[in-house]
Amino acid sequence: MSKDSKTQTKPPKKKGFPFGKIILLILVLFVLAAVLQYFRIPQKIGLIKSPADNLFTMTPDSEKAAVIMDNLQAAGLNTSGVEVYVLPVAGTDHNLAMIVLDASKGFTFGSYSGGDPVKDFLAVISQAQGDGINRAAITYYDEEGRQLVAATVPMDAINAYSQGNLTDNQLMEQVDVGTDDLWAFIGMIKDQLK
Amino acid sequence: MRRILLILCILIIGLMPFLSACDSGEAQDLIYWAKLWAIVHDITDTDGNPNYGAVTRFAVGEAFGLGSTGDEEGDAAIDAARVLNNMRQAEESADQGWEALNKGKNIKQSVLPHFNKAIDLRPDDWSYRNGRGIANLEDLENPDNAKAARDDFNQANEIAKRSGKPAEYLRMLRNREQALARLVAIKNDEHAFPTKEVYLEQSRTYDELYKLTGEKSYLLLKQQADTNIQEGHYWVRD
Repeated sequence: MSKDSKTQTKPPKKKGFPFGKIILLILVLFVLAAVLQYFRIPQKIGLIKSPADNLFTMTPDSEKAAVIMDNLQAAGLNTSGVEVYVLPVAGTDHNLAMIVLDASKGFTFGSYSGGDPVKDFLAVISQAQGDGINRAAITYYDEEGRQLVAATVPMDAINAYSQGNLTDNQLMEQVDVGTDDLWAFIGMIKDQLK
Repeated sequence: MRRILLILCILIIGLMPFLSACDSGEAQDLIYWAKLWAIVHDITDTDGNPNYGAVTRFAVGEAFGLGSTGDEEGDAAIDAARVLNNMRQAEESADQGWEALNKGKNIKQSVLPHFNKAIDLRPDDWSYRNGRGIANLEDLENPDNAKAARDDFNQANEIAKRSGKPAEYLRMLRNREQALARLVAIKNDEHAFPTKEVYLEQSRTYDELYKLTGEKSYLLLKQQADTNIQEGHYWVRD
């Protein structure tokens, strides 16, 4: 056997990543994607528009907002630190009534002197469906001006509840809630309940 | 904004005993609703014990961006923090612009920067273009003020038309008409005059509103604006 043929029998060197490393890389990318998504990084740096960025581009309807604010005041609800925005939904005839409760501008839960604040609020908001409002949302800002929590419910559910066609449980099934700052939100609840 | 589905796993576990201990009036009402919400969304059972399976499912869904109310408008309402912050800042800035304009402050230095900021924050909101346009109408120190105002009003028109809704264009025109009328009323209260450009724009706006709605009150208001121009009840550049 010649020297040349001995050299040819050697196993060829492996090229590229081994299979294990590829799996590990995929796992790392998977976790990275989850972390980016969890912290809403693509939305924050403008790579992806949030649903709100897509839908709430139009000019808020200040006239409808003024009517809701008048109704809140007429019902005896505390409107100190309360702002109302009616946001038309782009591409539809829908409107969202967004009620802002801002503790940094004087809103406090403790100053409410009526009955059940949730029921009273729903009774006022139910009047707004005639103005083309199909969803209501409430958002709370703490004393430092941070948005802590938001809740939303469709107007259909509010109206059905006001007319006695939905139970408390069925209404709550229609309510969605979200927060931007979990720990601050928990702290706020503890403060409010002291 | 992250869905509360994730928070509630911690909230319910950490706060439920605390919530139960609280007995003040309106707080009890709010707690009743919070507990009910947790129960119907399967976060806890009726005794307040957390459902760890549901919590884990929600947390994993949230981490992979699958958390959703199931309704695009619902998601937008929950996730509106950034939009709402921009909106509130823009509104505050525009209010400052109007206040400075009504106090007769220097337009270029004290009024326009506020409207510019509002427009930067909410470029598709025609009300700030209307506001800046009206401020430009009052800026007699700028020889091109009428052109600058026209540009703003044209942009406001274009934004409103882009929605494809005739009602939106009408809402935009009414916003402009009301803002012009407020400015004229404030000037009258101070025994001062607005500029000729303000009356000209008022006349144009009332005319368009009359043509679009057929309401005769707009025709009368247009005639009043025209009369003010004919009788020279306006401020002119020196």
